[in-house]
Amino acid sequence: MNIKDYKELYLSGEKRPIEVIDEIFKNIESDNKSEKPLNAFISLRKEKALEEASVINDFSKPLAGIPIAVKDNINVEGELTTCGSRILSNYRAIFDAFVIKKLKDAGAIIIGKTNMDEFAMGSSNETSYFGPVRNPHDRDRVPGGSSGGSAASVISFVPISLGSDTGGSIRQPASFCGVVGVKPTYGRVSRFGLVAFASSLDQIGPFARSVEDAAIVYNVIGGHDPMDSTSLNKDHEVNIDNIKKDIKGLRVGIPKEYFTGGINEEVEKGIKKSIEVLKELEAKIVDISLPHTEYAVATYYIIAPAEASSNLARFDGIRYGVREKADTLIETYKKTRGNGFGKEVKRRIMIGTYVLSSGYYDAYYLSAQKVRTLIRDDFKKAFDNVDVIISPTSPTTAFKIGEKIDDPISMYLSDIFTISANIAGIPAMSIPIGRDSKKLPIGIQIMSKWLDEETMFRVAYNLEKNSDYK
Amino acid sequence: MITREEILKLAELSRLEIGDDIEKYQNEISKILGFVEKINELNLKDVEPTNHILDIHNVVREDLAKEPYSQDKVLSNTENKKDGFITVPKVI
Repeated sequence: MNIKDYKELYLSGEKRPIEVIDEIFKNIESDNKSEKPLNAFISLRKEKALEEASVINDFSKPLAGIPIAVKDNINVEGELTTCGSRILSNYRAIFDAFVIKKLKDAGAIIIGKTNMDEFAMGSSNETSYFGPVRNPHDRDRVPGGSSGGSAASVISFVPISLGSDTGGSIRQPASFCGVVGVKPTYGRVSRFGLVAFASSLDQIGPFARSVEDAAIVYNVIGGHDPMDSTSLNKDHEVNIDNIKKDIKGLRVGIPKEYFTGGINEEVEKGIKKSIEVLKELEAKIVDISLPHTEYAVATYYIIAPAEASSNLARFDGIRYGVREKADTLIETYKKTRGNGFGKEVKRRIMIGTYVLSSGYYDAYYLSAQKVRTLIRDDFKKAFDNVDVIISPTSPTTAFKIGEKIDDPISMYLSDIFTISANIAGIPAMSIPIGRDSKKLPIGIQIMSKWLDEETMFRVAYNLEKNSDYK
Repeated sequence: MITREEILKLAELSRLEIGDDIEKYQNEISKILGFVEKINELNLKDVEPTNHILDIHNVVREDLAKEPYSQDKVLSNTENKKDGFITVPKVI
């Protein structure tokens, strides 16, 4: 069911929002009792959601009565915001994030907070203090990460959800779970109320069951916010009619560096089939080059931990969070952070501290910022000749729980195709286009020029309409 | 290979208690640093660094007095408080 279907239910009087919302909680509760629960939620907002649903009578708002799940690093007033971490396991937000205000104004009903990799650091949802999320298509596999709970919940419980994407954390789980996931242009959606991971890369975006629904949610949550100094003061909305236009003559770039091996055969086959679909739709396929692609993951794993080591300094157990007892202040910090953070987070804080420390700063952090310029310039040049760029979202389909958790670099490489969009700040999204022989979804990534979400959605809409994915 | 002492120093600077995992961190962090060093293959001499991808500068907003969050709200997330203040172990 999509947003439109819910609206029809409500407008025809067939069902009331409170019945729909109640049913969702029943589904979640029954799944929690199953042998291998999805574990998509860290906390539920049952009482308030039902109360809000009971008083809805204006169905003209874009998301009136539509249930939505929210990643647990986005503040919803009065609710837990744990970031999937022990250190924030008792933290209740005292204000609504900008995007939450927007959702509430649009009539959406927030169902609960979704499970995630701790502080969004991970690609499999296994680093969560609250246990891994399972993939709805195969419960022994990961849903991807870090927004794994948000992706899984859209398959199983709600039509839409919010995630955050720092290096692929919306697109990669969207790909693994077979849903639509969007990372807008950096600056399109305010991060006020999002717990910061890597501030020069973080962006909030929607998950949905259809491209159109993702565009509707994007329109609701975007826009200028004086509380986020990186927020763009420009019109952000996409015209839903325009995204349904054909793509005749549109130039679609295929970067050769993304197809140089390392991609699972079935994924590659799926993407090639989509390229054929684009040709049939009379899009113009253009071979392009993004020469610095091979440096993107390395660049990311300098910049992101560096920013994280600084952003996560605020978690010391003093003003909020789980404080450990010790005799001195310094010992309190160390114990609180040592026990409060998991291994992946500690590793990244230490790496970030290392690459920022004097003597290493130039060789790591400054160099990474220079490579960032090169990667951005690659895209600038490419977009002189093409309107969008497509690639696989991830080199594989969903892998098994436990398969990569002890090998950080192999885990990092599952974001090899998504990271560049964050480094360059361009919009990018993933949509499902097929399944492999194990029936696991395959995702395609569509990237467009800075601020040109509309063309990205348009290509996605056309691919969705012409794909046989079910 | 990053040394044991370096790991201990990083943990100290990061205010992290890491217990018996020193060797594990040594191995993992060395591997990751070895991996990211790849960027130094590039000639970066004449390249300007990018620390912010958007072309917006000096973002300011009007200096207006606004209603802050109440003291009760702000203190609601800690048990360690007294007379409207947050308490910490003795510093001096």
